[in-house]
Amino acid sequence: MLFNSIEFAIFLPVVFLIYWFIVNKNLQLQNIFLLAASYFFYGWWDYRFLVLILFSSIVDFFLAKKIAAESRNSQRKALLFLSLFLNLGFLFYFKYYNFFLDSFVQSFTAFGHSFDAQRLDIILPVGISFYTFQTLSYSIDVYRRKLEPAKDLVSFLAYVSFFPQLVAGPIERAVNLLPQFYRKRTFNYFQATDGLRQILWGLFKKMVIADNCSTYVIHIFDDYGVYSASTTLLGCVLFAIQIYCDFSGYSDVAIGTARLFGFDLKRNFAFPYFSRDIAEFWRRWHISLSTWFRDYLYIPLGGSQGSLGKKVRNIFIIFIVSGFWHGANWTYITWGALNAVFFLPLLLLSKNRSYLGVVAEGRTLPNFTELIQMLTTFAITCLAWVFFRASSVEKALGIIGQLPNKTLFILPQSFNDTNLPLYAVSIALLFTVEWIQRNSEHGLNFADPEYLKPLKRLFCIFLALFIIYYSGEQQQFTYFQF
Amino acid sequence: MSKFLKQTGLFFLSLLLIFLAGWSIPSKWITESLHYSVYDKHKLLEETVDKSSRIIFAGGSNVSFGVYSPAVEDSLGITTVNTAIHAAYGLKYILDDLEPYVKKGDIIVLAPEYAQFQEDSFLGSAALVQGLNVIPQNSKLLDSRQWVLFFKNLPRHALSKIRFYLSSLFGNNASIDAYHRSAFNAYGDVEGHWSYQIGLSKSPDVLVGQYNPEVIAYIERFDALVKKRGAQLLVAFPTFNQSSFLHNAKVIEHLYQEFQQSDIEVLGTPERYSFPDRFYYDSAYHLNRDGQFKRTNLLIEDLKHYLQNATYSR
Repeated sequence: MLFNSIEFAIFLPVVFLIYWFIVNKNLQLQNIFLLAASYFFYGWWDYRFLVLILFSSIVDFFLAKKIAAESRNSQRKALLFLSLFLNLGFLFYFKYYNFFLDSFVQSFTAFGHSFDAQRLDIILPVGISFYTFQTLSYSIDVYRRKLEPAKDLVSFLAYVSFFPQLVAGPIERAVNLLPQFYRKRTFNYFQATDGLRQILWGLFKKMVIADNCSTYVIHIFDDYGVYSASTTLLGCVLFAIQIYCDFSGYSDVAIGTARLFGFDLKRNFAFPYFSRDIAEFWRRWHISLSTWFRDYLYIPLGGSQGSLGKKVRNIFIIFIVSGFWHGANWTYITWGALNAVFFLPLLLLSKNRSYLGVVAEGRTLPNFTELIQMLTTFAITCLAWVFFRASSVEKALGIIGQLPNKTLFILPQSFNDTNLPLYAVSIALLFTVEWIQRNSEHGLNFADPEYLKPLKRLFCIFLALFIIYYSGEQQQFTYFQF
Repeated sequence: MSKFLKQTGLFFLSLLLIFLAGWSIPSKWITESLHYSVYDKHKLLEETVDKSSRIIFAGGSNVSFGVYSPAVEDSLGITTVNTAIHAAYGLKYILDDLEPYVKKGDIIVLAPEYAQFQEDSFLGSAALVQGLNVIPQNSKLLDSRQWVLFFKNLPRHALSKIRFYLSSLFGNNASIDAYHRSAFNAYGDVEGHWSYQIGLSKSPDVLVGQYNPEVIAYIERFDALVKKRGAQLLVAFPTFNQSSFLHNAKVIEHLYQEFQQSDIEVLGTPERYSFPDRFYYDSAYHLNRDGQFKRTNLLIEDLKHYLQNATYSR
């Protein structure tokens, strides 16, 4: 069930009304109902996925209890390894088996040997990377004694499968989300209205901007050879906007939906394209994944401590693994490695924490230096996104190789779409609103005086009409494939 | 909670009022659009009801852009009516709309676009709302699945009417050339595009989605109903430009085989109606003037053959 579908538009109000009017009497009922709704939501894709998530959750629930109860370190470690083995085993089997097999066969072919290997004909369960990382963090935190094991199975199952964030995050740590399942939720008007506005903003980003950009991006990336360099460059920029609006749009809808049910999820995007360097970008992009890797991989590896070689190694490991997390393809690995290359100089010069605040704090516009910094950061992320989007590394190199060309200075082709100026207006609207709101949680997070409220309401109505009228052809959220 | 429900209710009510206003707005754009030609086509069917025999062409725009009825009428000596307007009404709606007008002696030549057989396309899409806005009494033809599609597409339709209405107030009338009520001739064929040349895009049309067996079953039901009235249904294949045809050859072959296994009378083969790109106007299904005549001649040959030999396609 996609957030931008009719099915979800029916599902959400029905679940909301039952949740607040029928099962609001006690905590247990609220949790059971949320669990049932989440399984219904997930099973809508394919009911067989439910078996996997249920099995993985139950195993982790009991293993964590055993880990917490065990006093011998060796036993605790063994139990943790069992949990890691099972979770990562499922992930490997469903997501990476065919990739490793193909790479293995190709490497033998390169040395003149060839053999047939049996590929697995399996479908990738939606959201497996997200909920696997969620349950992994739970087991590790219990092992590290940072977290008490879940009190009851229903709360834990509801935490793992919580439908707003189940299929594409934010990847919620048990430390933050699980305790919210232990408290009976009471309706909060401000939380719910802000949640609705965040949903609206997320849908605008996804349905108007990402889906419309996608129709151009598909043409340009599929047949880049036939277009001018300026059109290809436009395609690269539009993809950067598309991937941001697609994924942060999803996160906005997820966080907003959770708020309707009285839950606060972690922020996942903090206006990353207003970053002044790549380190700031990575603190603002897919925050739940970046911090996951930081806490469970980077810091255990030694982080930025130790010798120069170790620092370089750790940076490459974290970025390459992050790329690999996105998908079993060399394009994602290259994307990760490229980001490591961009990030490394900042780390080595100890400038990776230069920009911790918001750009142009207390000012309406950025100064010239900030503007150049933001544009440079955007440009290098665009370059990396080419690898992320292209179907192969060769194609990505072909696209980049085509750019230095005299056709870079002609007007890009328009694909005869009369709505093109409107798409440009909507992108301008996105960046204007987000710039104004860059100190807030999301684009429509209003904290203005009373007299401005009617104006803001009108803006929301206008935005809803804009979404309905200019939404592009319905596309699946890009991050569902991860 | 009550404040929240009230505020949310007001928000959605304002949207609903805007949609209703858009739906009911009297719009010149609607009365002059190709959708309004449904009245002209119904009138044609009513005016020819006393003819002993009629050839009635039905389908989507591949038929409205792809048949020249005066030539058919002259060659076969049978009154001819082209009822086709838009494929996106969905084949179900097209057949249900035609059904009350079918009478003894009619020969219905149905040429549905290939896309009608994929997934739920035969139930219609956005054009269904446009069609119903023109002729609301046809709402009785809709089943529950079509109502879902209707409500899904209604908001955007209402907003586009408001947009065109507002732009018409400022004298900004969109040019709709071939897609215009006046583009149809007295027989119901599109002629309005003859003086334009647009050309096809480079990429072929791709038939997406699973084959839906429900569509042929629905045509079979229509066939049975038509036969009961003493009329005859013939299925012809749509015209499809060569690159699109080759790209989707497997899907089309599968469809052809499905028709061969059904009880439906079939005219010609899919390959016969696929022409080089120079015969097309602006899409893989829309023929230009030359293409329209070329296809009409082939249809005349096939119909002559059929009329001479009732077991022709078997």
